[in-house]
Amino acid sequence: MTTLLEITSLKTWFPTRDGIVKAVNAVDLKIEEKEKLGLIGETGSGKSILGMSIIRLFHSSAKINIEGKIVYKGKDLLRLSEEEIRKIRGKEIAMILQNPATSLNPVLKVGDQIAEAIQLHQRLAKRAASEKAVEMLEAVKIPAPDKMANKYPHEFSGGMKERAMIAMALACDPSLIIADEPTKGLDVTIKMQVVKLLREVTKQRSMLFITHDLGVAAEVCDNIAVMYAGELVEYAKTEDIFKNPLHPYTQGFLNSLPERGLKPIRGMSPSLINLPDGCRFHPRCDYATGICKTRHPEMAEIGNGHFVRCLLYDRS
Amino acid sequence: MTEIKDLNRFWNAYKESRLGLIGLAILLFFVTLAVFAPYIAPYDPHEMFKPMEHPGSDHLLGTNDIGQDILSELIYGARVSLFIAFFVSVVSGIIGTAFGLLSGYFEMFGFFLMRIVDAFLAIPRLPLIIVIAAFMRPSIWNLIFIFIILGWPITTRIIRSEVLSLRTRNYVEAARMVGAPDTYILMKHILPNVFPLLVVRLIIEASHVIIAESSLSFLGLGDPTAKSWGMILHYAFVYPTIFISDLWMWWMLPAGLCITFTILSLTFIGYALEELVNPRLRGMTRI
Amino acid sequence: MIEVKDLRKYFSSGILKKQYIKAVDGVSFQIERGETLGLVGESGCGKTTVGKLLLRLIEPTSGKISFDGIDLLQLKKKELRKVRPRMQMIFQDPEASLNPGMKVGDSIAEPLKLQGGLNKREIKNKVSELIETVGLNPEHVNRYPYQLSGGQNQRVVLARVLALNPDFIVADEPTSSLDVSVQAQILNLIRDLKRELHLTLLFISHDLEVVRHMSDRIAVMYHGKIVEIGNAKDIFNDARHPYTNTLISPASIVDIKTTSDYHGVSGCVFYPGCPFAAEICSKKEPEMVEIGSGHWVACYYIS
Repeated sequence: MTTLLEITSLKTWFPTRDGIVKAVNAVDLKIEEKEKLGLIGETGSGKSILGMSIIRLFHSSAKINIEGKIVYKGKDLLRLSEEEIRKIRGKEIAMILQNPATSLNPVLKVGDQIAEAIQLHQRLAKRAASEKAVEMLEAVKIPAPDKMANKYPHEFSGGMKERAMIAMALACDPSLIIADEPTKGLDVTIKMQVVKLLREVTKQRSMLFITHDLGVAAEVCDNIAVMYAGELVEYAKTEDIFKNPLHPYTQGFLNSLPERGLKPIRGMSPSLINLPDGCRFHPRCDYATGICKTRHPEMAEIGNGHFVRCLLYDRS
Repeated sequence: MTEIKDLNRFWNAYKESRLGLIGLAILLFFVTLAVFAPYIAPYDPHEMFKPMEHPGSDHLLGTNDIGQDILSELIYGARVSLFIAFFVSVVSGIIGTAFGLLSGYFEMFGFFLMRIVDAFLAIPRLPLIIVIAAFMRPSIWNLIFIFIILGWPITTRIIRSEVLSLRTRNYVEAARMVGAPDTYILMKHILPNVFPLLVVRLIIEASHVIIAESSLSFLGLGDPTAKSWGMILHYAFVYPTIFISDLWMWWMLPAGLCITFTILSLTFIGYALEELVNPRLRGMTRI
Repeated sequence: MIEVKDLRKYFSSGILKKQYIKAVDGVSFQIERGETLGLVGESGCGKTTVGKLLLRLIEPTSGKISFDGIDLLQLKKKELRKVRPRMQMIFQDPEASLNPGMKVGDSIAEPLKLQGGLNKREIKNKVSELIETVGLNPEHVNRYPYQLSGGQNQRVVLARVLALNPDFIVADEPTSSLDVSVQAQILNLIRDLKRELHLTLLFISHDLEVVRHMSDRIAVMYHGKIVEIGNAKDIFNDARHPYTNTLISPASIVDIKTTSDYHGVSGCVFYPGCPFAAEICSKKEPEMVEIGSGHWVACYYIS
């Protein structure tokens, strides 16, 4: 397998009036070709910002400092100009944003929106683009795609909108899809349909799957990276994360699921402005010792591609 | 304590807007002129000197056709114009808010009141003002009365639509759940939350009133004894040789600039406040 | 404690051509004193409407609700205000349930002030007592909702709700906007408080796992109707209605149609999406049948 995307010590910081929001803090991450990587974290862990940093999907007036390296097919995306990255956005790397209700323009027909996405990157006549849009809607299993292409977003149900978003992301046949909470707010039955669809359409592609829903991640992903307070704390094969979670946060996260007994983690996630010293998780950790308060642990491989950032496993 | 802190927080956010600061500075300048007019103005604006004097060391902006010092007229004019604007926007704001709250909260009352509001809003404002003003005797209080009559329906409508959305908020329902009576809910839970919107509305209304007052005065429908900026324009405009000589440069232009800058400052302030009040207008990335 | 009979709420839309949306269509159930009834269903199935109807936050189209022997729908506005403190509701979004301009301490004190009978000092003491009960720190009293996290705000809401010693609480998806690790904290708190204070609870959620954890009995709702009701154990181990089964193992069912397809369907509400649908299902609505002790199902396939 070859590496498609490699992120090295990525930092995305937002200077604000109250201080610097360190949303992403020295993250290293690799996505192989055809790999489905899950990025798990809670609100404010920086997972969405990490996804947006890859293709710099920020408002142009936002004050942001992005540092590090994001190498995609040999090119460092962070060194590209706005013009150059626009050519990659949508065509090479497509993003499925959370909240399909607001990501679709309410006054444009769904088919036209998809056709527009196609025409941005391919020289196609309007007719041909529209036909392609219908094809895409068919690919995401929307019934009567030629009719539905002529409808407005409000005529679509939540699950259908999500499908339309996926169709738009697929329109230019990207190699990497970044899906940001694509199942958020969907009902269980609809959620499983969307998950199934995502699995099908990404067979020949890579995907960075950002979610807080572990159940869904288990269905879709080969590997899982767990993010807490702006950094990765654990990385392993999906199976290992579930069967043998090492980091106390991952363990706590799993145990707080209702089906695993609803045992909560005490306290709450730290603010990204005032991160605790030492291990970011130590104020909430049951295993924390004195050294955890001062020493910031590094990611270390425990064996067989299982990485963890915790002093409990530190052998030095 | 926390109230002061809140004001501080508000000011810190407001400071971010450069337009807002510029607007505030200009407005403060005119307010200072208005408040301290007797100390700032070199003469009594009604005192008569030699007519049609060109600008010089005695009269910085010259004198008008009956010999009144134009600079003093301008400074006192700030008083009249700002007073009318302030008074009208506050009174019509109070009426509009009261009706807005009631009509948003009580459906039947709201339905009937909105038909009246519709009728008011359907009539174009300025022509109506002109017609009414022409029939009534021109005086400041009559002008104020007309502006209030025409100002409240817009405020009512804006406040009502906000109340309609606020009253379905969970915290209003929660207050009902603990047995709060309607008047209590209106005063305690709804009024404070329409307040920011109301402030923006008052600012906008004030600038409308300044424009309307100047236009009426300019057309000769204002109070002939009041020294407002509009009246200065009016007297200058009816003077025969105003545009074929240099007269307009010190007689008309300064009054025009005063009106323009006051309205500009109010617009800037309104714009800055609206950005604070309405988070959708803020161009920021959510984290 | 609570008895609901044939409750209906139709919303109408359109001015010229009236269309009715049957949000709640003939729902009946009881909740015993000290019991938690879980109400599960997908978004738009009418479960929140049921909760609000029960507290008369909205008026039903028809039906009967009795609360502790009182016929709620017969009460006048004034009488209702007297009963209200005994029934409370916890909403989905904690921040939206608190007035953004009020300090949380004042929000908690508000119901006490409104009910009267306590002086300032007593109110203050009661507030600090409540704050402690829900696991907040005394310094939180002077903060505003936007300065607290979602979990903390939900604790404030709980404190406020408990201020009046209610008998019955409707909890409408109280944790669906919270993170998983915080969700567990709040759910455990609600469960503990319920036990300590002998509360009766209607727990509404779309998450069957959460409901299982919280409830003694579970009612499954689909498109305005209850399709199955029974003990939590029975619903999980012996679910009978095809729809309940899809909720328990969603992977097993593939293509359920979307909401809009259902309006105007006669017969069983689940018929268009049901894998076991027979001819009769499309014609006549199935009745609730008791198939075990307290386990009722509305489905021809089962009966």
